[in-house]
Amino acid sequence: MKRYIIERLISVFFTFLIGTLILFLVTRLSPIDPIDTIVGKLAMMSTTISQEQFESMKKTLMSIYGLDKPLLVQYFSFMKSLVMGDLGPSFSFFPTPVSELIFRAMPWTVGLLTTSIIIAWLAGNLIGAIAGFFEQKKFSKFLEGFFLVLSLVPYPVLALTLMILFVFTFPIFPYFGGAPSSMISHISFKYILGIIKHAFLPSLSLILVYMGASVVTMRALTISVKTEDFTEYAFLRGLPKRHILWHYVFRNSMLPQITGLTLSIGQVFGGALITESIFSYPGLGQLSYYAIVNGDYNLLMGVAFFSLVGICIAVLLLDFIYPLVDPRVRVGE
Amino acid sequence: MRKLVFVLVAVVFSLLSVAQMLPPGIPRNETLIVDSIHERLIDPTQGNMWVPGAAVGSGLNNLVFDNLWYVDHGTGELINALAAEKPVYSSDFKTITIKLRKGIYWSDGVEFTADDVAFTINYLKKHEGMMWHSDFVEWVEDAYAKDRYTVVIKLKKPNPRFHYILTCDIWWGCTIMPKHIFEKVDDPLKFKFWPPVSLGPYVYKAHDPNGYWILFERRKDWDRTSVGKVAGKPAPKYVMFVAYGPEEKRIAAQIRHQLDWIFDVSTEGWYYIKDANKYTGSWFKDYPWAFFHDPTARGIWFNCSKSPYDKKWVRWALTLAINMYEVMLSAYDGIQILCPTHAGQGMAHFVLYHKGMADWLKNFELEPGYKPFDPTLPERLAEYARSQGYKVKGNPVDIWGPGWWKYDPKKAEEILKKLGFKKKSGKWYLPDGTPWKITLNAPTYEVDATRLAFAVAEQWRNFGIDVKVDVLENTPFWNELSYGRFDVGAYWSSSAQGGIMKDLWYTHRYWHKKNVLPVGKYAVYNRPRWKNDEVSKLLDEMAGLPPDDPKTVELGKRVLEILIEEMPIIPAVDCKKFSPYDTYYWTGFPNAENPYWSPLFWCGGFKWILPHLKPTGR
Repeated sequence: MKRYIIERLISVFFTFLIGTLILFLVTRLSPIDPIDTIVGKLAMMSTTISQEQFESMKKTLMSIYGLDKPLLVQYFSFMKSLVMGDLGPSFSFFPTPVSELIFRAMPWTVGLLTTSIIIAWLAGNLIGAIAGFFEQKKFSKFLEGFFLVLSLVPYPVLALTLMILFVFTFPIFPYFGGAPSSMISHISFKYILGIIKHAFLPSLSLILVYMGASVVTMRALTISVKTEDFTEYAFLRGLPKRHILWHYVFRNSMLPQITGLTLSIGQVFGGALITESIFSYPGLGQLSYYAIVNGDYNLLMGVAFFSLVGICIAVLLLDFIYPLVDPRVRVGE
Repeated sequence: MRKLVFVLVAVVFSLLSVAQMLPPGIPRNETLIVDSIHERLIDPTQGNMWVPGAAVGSGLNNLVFDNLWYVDHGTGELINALAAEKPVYSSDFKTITIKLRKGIYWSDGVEFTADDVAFTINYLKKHEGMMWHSDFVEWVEDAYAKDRYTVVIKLKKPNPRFHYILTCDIWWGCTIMPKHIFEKVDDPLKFKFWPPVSLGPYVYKAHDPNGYWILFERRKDWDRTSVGKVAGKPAPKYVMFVAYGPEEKRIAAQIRHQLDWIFDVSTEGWYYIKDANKYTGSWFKDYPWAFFHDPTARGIWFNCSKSPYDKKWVRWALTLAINMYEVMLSAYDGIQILCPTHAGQGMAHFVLYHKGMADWLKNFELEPGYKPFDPTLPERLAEYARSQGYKVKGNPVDIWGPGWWKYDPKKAEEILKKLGFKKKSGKWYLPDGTPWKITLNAPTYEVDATRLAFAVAEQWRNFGIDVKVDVLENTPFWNELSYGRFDVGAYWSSSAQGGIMKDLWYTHRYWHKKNVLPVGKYAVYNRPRWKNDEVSKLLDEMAGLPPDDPKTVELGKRVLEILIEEMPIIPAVDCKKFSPYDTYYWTGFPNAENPYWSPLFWCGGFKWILPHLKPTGR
């Protein structure tokens, strides 16, 4: 057991190391030069600098941002800072540290996505299991059709429909933001309700989409497990249907779903760009978008780094949790 | 179960009752709510405007900081703000004396003096990486306070336009630093200056940590600011910049009187909002509504370093293959102004270099005996407007400009065939026999530019060229241009094409041949990579003249004449703005009937608009 844990930890460590190297190289290979972007914007705003002055300014900024050094030196410098917990300054929002921008955005993304994924996963799997177990019933056919259609609706269409209905036609929910501007300094029950209100539509759109996929997959898995020999044997033994559903079918059908849930939660740190854009909701997705279009290597690296960490931890947790759920994969048994 | 239902009902009711309103204690009828042009402020607590990349357009440049001079968006003349008068140059243009306005104070109670101005120049010159550092390194020998209200700047070499660096043209100029704060700062690049000490009529009040809004409050001592002394008391006690998001949200917000002034909307958006909200207005009361004198003009830009666009005649043939009347209707429903010259469309440029060149344009001969200018377009557009049931008030030339270039596909064909191009089965082939394909770049985020690209592409397709429109995100769109990788694109610029100042040198010096860089190198100026000796010589001559010398206008017109003869870009239309304002809470917005300023509230001159607004009392 001890050896298994050490092996998993070493494996995750190397995954993380290789991942950061790839991330570093990919961001640096971006065709967008952050310095050109910054200085080009200044020139667009009618500043009085000449081409020669532009070149000199560019050199200065390259030196300040540490981009004038060879790539290898930049990489080791990045890793050294990383060990100290420093992701460097954002180029686009200099001198603000990348970590400050990320930590400002992260609670919104993590809160929204984690809650939505868990609700959708729980509800989707329960409905899917029941629908699959009673596959011949009318309600099962209806649920299958409904959630199949839901899972096939392109996400932006669904999100925009909710927006049109509940922001424009019936103005119940707010236009933008994660919290009410009227209560900026009042942490209270009403303020929390305000946060829920802001997150409601983005969350609902995500839940519907995730749930659609969960129900369809779980229903198929349940139907498949229901035809396994051990399930049929349970029926022949005359065990109650409810017992067979939850103890024989549901538990076995859940195995691939647990993998899916863990990986989905691991990916939370990447943000949800489309959701954040449509609902003007703050989060890591929009931050990544700013970083990409402005060639802000440090900021992009920062967001991607957290995503990498999230996925590594999720995989590690999965390795540890799985044997608890599925006795067949326990080490030494 | 009953308890659970009750709790759920209570939660839902509470959710519905939590309205998105102003921050606590801020009355709506004392607050002007305007659009945040650059959307959400990712880092709302960066108040150091002298660091490259600080956000411009959301209160700092246009409410909090101040400049010595501003350019009047209507007349193109200098407004004395922190300066008491125009700069006085020595006869060799190497010494500038600036008299400052007395009785101006920073918001922390410290008096603004000549020491602040001299300090700003010397401090920025000393610190690499700061804004305007390279300007001051290049030009300034020394800056010092002669007395409490007089600054003297000694230059390394003559420059009759040095004060432009300290002037807010559109967005900003070098804003003045508080000496008493920055003299204690060791590393100004890392100093966030938050909350900033203000020299303008407003101070920072509050912001959303996620950057969706930022609120400013009128200074109690507003009468100790340049705006207070020159224009009077700014009417709104509070000004709030809000990032509502996409156009539809901004329109919905204005219909509900939650957004007083929108940056811009599409034509369709305008038609919707004007019908949905009787309080909404734009520049003109009736058709064509929009403001046509944004300083920046749009056009079709050629990469003059690439074949076949390196040939003047190819560029002209493509110009004559555009039916501008059709473009105006299909892309803009006639709501645009025509730009026949390469000047900007700010009012100063319009008067001097569009209307002011009407006679030359009419008589210009591309070839002996061939006059390509079409002065009938404004009247035809007016006829179209009448046919749609609109009333056209005033001279169509004042609305749509003096005209544009003829639609003459026969002439275009003749020109191309002379150059060796061939037309087979209605399709054009290059002189080397390969099909002529054009990739036309357009941006994702500027509807008018995208529409121009598609409309022109359609015209050229009808003419027989295979045109593909590439719609690109902001950075790749501009990088294609700056690195010289593009063929043709629907671009604009606030430098080469802009124009609220009469002095054409300011906006057109970038056409100098010294700014042409090889393809693959990032060019800030002259990005069409067009070289012309005569234009460069004229620009050198203009550089040595004071900006108000009458000869600069004449030389400027000659620059424009050469640009028209060569057509390195096809000037097309303005960056027109509807900028819808809501008169439910506030009136007195600038418009055609009261044109005291342009509607460009996101620019540095916003502070000059605020004293003109009036509360409705609602």
